[in-house]
Amino acid sequence: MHCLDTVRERAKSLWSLVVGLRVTGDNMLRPQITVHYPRRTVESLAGYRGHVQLVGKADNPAEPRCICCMMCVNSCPSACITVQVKEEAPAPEAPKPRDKAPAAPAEAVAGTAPDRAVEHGGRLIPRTRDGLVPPPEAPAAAAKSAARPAAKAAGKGEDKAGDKPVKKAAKKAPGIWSLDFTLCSLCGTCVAVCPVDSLEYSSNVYLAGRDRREFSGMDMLARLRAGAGAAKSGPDGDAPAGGEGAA
Amino acid sequence: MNLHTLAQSLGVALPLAQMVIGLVALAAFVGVNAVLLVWMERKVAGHFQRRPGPYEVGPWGLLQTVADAVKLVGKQLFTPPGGDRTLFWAAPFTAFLPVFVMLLPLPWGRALIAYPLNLGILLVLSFAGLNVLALCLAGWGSNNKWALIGAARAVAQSVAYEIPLLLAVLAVVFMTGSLDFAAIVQIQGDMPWQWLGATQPLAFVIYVVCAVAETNRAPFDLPEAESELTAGFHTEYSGMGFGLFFLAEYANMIVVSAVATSLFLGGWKGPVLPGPWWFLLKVYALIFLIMWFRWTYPRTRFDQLLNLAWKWLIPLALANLLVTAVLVKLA
Repeated sequence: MHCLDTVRERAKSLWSLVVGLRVTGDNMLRPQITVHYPRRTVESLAGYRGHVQLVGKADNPAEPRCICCMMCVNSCPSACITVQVKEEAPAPEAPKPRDKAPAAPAEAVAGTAPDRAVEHGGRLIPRTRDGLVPPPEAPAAAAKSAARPAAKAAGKGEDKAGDKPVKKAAKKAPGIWSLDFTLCSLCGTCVAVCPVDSLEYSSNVYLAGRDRREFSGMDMLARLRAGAGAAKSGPDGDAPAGGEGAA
Repeated sequence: MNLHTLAQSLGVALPLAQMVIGLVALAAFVGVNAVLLVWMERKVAGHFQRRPGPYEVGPWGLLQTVADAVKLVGKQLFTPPGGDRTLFWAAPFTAFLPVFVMLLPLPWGRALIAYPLNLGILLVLSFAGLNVLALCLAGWGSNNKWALIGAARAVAQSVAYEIPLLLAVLAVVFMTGSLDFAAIVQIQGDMPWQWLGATQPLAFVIYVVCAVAETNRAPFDLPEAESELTAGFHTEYSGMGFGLFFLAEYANMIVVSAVATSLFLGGWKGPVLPGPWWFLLKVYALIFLIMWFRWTYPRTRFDQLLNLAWKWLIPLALANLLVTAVLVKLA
């Protein structure tokens, strides 16, 4: 009996060899997956993980969703992301909260248009996107902090109590968002940790350049604007005219 | 004037003239075929993996092998220091040259035999053993541990698989009573059911398995497995030395396929088409099958390889031979 089982087992193994041949034979008859580059190209690959790029807002594709929380900067293992908040013009008069904008606008940072700042509680808060002043519940806190002497801009502890209601309305936007792709380890941590889903992978499979410097400081803001249909810019992202759609 | 008078006028015997011409023709055939088979292997491998294989160099990538050969020729011929220089360079030639002798007695057509020999099978089997010597020389002359291990494995494998090969061929010899390839093909008919492969299927299967093992093809390519032994016995060869081993492998594939075609698949016999076309068709079909095996089956472990030969193929071949002998005697 045992030897019959062995024979049966062996016969099954031999049959599996034939099945294997059939599998590869079928494979040979199926169409090829290869795309003959450069005669043909792929449009985009859905799952392709290229470099990281910014995602525009739904109503304003040229502006990134980024809120400058710096989570991507801090979590990047290769330290290749540089984000700088769009700095606002410091109000020449001192602590008048959310009042009229200062007379002289500050200089632009990184080629973006100057924005108007509202000084509140000793900290400069950029205007909100649609230009509205911060919501009305701020006044109580504003009055409280107006009483305080003009503190240093980076006084975190001081501002904490008074800032909370105002923080809701004030949003940060990046003035510089730069990726050093030559250092990037393609881990995707930045995409994963972004709380507003402002980062996504590019699906450009044909990314190539002739110089390392084209990739050592990729200006993602310029790319976003270019992609949103604004003025074209090169891979180094010389900034297009003006900061349209800024705050 | 015919060949006979030409030979007489030149003062050489006809058989010698015939053999020399045949040898030259076979050398040309092997040369062209080596290029063709390397291309075929890469294309077949590509298509099995749903990709195109070479297609840039030349139409359908046909000139790719030529480009590779030119590259190989241009490489530096390097002898590993400390190894036996004579043996090291004797090895590729020992692997490559017997192929020409083995192709001599095969009937490529009705009268297309380079050297008709009534002991053709004996000639082929004996010169096939020289391949083992080539492997030994390569492994020893390389002065390299892994090359030596690869060579030792290759020798063990070749020796083990020669026995069932011989026994399978012997079954055919028992049935036909002749060692002459031409006579064996003559006995077979045009149609597949008239071939000796139909009456001796087990011998055919054993022969094919042994042929794949003798030529060190996957799944029995442990001696030259890149992932195991950094290329085994031909690790230290670069440029033309490697090219000769490569060439020898494909030439040996042609030899074993041609022998299988003559013995089991009816040789040049077939309806409609002239003989040589059928012979070539069958040879290439067998070579395609061997390539199919390579891209389907995983590599066997060395003990599995030897077990297969000693514990399975030899008993089966012996049993087959016994049954054949009994039936031949009774008939």
